[in-house]
Amino acid sequence: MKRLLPLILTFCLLIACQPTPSEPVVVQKDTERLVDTVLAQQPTDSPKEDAPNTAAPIEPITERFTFDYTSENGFLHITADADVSVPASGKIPMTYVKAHYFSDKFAKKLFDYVYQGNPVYVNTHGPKTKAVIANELAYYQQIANEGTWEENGFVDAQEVDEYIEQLKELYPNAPETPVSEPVLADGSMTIESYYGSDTHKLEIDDEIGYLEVYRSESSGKDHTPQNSGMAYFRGAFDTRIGYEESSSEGLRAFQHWYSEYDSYRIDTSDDTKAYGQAYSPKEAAELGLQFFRDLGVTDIAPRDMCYLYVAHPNGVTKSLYLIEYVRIVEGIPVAFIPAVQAYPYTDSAEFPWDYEQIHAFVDDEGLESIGWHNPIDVTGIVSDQVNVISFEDASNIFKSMCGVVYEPQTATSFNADCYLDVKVEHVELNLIRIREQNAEMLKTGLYVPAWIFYGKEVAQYNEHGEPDFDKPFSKILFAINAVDGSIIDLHKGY
Amino acid sequence: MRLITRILLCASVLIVAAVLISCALILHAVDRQKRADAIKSAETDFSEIYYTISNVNTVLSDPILCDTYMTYKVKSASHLDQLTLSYDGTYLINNVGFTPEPFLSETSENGIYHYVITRVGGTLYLMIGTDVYYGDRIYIISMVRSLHELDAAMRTLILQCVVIGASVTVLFLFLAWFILSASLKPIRTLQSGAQSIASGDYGTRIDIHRKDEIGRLADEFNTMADAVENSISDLREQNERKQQFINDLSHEMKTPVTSLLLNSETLLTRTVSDADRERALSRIHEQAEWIERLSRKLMQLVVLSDQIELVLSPVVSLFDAVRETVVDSLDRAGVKLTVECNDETFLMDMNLMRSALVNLIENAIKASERGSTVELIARNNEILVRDHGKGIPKDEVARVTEPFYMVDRSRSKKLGGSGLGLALVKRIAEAHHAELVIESELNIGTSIFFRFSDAI
Repeated sequence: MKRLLPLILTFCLLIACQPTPSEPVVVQKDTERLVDTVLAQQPTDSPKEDAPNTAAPIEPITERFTFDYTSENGFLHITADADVSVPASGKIPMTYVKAHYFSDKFAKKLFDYVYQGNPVYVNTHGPKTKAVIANELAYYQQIANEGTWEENGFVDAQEVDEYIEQLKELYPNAPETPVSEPVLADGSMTIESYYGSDTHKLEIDDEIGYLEVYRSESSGKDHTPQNSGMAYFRGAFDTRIGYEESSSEGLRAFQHWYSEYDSYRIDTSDDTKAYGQAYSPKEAAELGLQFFRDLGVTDIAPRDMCYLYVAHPNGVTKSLYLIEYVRIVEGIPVAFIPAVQAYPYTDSAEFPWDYEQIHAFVDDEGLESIGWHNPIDVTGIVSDQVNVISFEDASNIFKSMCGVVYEPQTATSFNADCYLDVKVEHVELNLIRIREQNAEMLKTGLYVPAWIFYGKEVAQYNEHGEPDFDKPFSKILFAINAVDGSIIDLHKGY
Repeated sequence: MRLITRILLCASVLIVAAVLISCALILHAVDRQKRADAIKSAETDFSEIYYTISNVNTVLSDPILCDTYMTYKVKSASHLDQLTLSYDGTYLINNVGFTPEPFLSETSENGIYHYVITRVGGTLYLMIGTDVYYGDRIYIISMVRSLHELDAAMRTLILQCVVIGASVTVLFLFLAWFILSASLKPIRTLQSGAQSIASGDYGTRIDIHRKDEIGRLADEFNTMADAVENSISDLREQNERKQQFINDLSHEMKTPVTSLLLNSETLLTRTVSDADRERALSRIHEQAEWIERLSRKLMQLVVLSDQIELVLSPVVSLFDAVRETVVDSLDRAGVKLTVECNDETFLMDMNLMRSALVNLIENAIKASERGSTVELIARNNEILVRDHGKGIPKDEVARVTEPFYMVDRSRSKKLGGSGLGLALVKRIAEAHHAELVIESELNIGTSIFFRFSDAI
């Protein structure tokens, strides 16, 4: 025993030994390197307003950018005949950014603004009665028994089972008859938990209008924020207008029973009422700005507009403006990212970070609806004047890389030839958001200067005719990081 | 330390060691498998990325454009957050936060990639990298994949192993204690039995009936207890006989010594007549002779040991020597002695046998009337002495060989008997490994047989 114990203890200690962990050589992440590159332009440690900035002022570019490229196989044709605009101030900043989440205070403020501080009686969506729950249970149980969960929009059978369990939990305490008493809404947000996510939401939906302010975060201890947004619609449900945009067909379909009839782009500074509308484009844009100013948000500017004719299945038609707004940072507009590009996918473990979207619909009665999704906070200034690569360098990069970027898009998995026509209409030096990688689920990044090539794409299959570039809004065809010359992938956000 | 405690301690050490070794082996195997799976998955993903990036459709000449091209290709690949791209020691893409290239120590099966699984800053990473050629430029692309899920899974597994191992150990120890307690109960019974025997209760026996070692131990214990009890009993008997011997000797000595003292005291302290003096001296002489005979026989009895030298000797010689020794006694008693023998030879000590046979014949003479015959016969493997005298009562036959026992004490003493003769004969018979058999009938006679063993 006396000899055995020391042997056994020695054995245990030996097997518990671990190799000494390796010491890593720490390097900066890409966004940190970008920041350092910019900070290196300010050689001293004194406050930036006192330090001499070696960044050269940005000279206006008077020459148009022209380009014509056809791929070897003829499927890709890229043209450019574009004006190039730079900030009038001759300088462009770089800032730190992070996702913003609308607070309860903002929700109350918005509620008070829309409803003039008066409490609103609204009919809530629930609670469901026992009869309603029983019917739903029977319905979803049938889906589970038949295994038709995929056809009915569920991800998998487990999702159906979980929903059935939720209904069973609600049933014992459900009312026998519908709740007839309206609920008083005073602008407070409530919390809804659903599939591991807690959503703080203020939602009012009645004959007067629809107001929604939300922010969602993950359930559990860390409460990692996920996304946030707000929307306001004037009027009853079936009078409201929303929109979707496809990459190829532009404004394609409308919610709430309206469908697009026609649309065309207009200038936000146009002060004429060419069609007898109540508001000129400029006035319409101002209505939206005023709405935000009344809420204390002043760093927004109209970026693009179009005029729409829409039709309801009952034959009613109406015309209204769609205004897209962008944020202004240190006097510089952030790049406009249309809806079709605003929702990137990502294959990383991080939560997708959609781009900021601010838009408004204005009809002859005034502000018909307004929406602000995925807001951004500027959390600090890296530099208020960044040394950027010249447009000549940027255009060389575009010319060299546009084929590399677009040619793969002409390859299809279908048994069809895809002809892609790309037209660059406008080039701007804007700010664009890039995302910090590996930021542990948090949405942080930078507004970096970027040469943005705006334009349109038209894809045709099998037959190649004259491309129709007549769509209201341009999209970002190419974004070149003006600090290091890298190509920004909007889907990756980086 | 109690046996059960020692056994449980050893068992617990062994079971803990066994559990630890088993868990370590299992965890190692699971970890290896998981790492192998992670490497395989990473290689698959990295291969896809590598072939996408190395599939060059445009070769640019400008170095900045080359970097832009490679950066774009890497950014277009999946798992961007895990990738690094460097050229000539400068990172074009690195969102991992450290340099993976120095860690890449292993080479994949295809010989193209270098990989390693190592812990950096407390986090377990799988790193894989290779060179990518673009024109005449060599870029290095690496993928750094955190294996925190594998780490967490292994930690959970380790915790489960610890919990299960501890539970199994505790359960085993409890069962072992229960089984050992039941198994060692017979030993406690044996212990208790040994204590009883040690405290003098020699009749204690262990009531354990098993076919295993414990059962055999109990049987042996009982056998030992029997032997101890018998030995104690024999010792007690011997002690009693010795005590009786001493008591008898003291008693036998007391009379002649008293007579010696009385007569000598009379002679020393009183004036007596010549006749009285003659009588006293005669008594002193008789008692002295008696004491001398007694002490001689006693000495023979005491000195005689089992280790005598036996020599094959003819019976004829023995009988001649015996006849010579007893002839005077026979004449005085008026008894005849007949001798009957052939050519028998026995392994014997001639002197001791002569002494024994003389004792027997002397006793036969004392028991016989005048004119009767005492027979001395040798036949087969026995020598017998037969008389036709008064015989021995049946209830005293067994006792006549006890030291100092006399059937008719007063008559025997009168005839000079000491009570030690037959005891001495019996002792001589035992020294010759022979059996002394006494057959007697009152008023018929007595036959005393010396039956030698066939082995002689």
